[in-house]
Amino acid sequence: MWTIGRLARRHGLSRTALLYYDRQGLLHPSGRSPAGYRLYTEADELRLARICRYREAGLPLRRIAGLLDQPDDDVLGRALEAQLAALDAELVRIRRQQRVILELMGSRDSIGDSRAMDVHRWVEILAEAGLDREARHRWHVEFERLAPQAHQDFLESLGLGPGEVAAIRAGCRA
Amino acid sequence: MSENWNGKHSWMEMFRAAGLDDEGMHAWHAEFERRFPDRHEDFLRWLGIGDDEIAAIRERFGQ
Repeated sequence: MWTIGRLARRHGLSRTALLYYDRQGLLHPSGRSPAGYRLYTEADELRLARICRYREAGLPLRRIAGLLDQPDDDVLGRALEAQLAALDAELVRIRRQQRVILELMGSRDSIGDSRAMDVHRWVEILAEAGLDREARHRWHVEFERLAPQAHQDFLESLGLGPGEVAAIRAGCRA
Repeated sequence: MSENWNGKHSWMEMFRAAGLDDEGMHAWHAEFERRFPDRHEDFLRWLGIGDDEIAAIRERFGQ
């Protein structure tokens, strides 16, 4: 059994956060001490660990509430896909803002020829070296087989969103 | 970097698997250096190549 303070500390949360989760119906302590203090069981702790994990993935609390009591993997999968899509949209928005800021700063060139290595430029160079679409696919497959983490890092460095990165990597394993 | 990742050698292995021969790799470096010299350098550094070798590569593939 965990007291609220210990459980909160263990998960890097405040007591207030746990009280809030209680009020929102996300996480009720299953027990009470004789003096009436909240006590959390192992099962409560596992539930909190899931809440924290989903929070790290950026899912809103109201969405998490629905997921916790829903054992269906499809529902979770859809929620995670929706979150990935939201992140992709956010990235597009942030890139646009970056571009506008650079333009406002009068340094349009810095995102032009020599600076940004985005995915289109990367593909152009590969194509120039003679790697057509099929060869580029073989390269991704090999990258994924040899070093999945480096593959992920590399794709991110090209400014691809999490959904795009996931799609490319999944395509390699198919 | 973890896994079977060995920077430069892994990269060359992948390019060969994709079907790129020596000439193709040469063309790729030359194009990278010509169009995006700074990115080329960043990329070589990311592969774990040291300063001297980077300088030699860029010298070789620059005009």
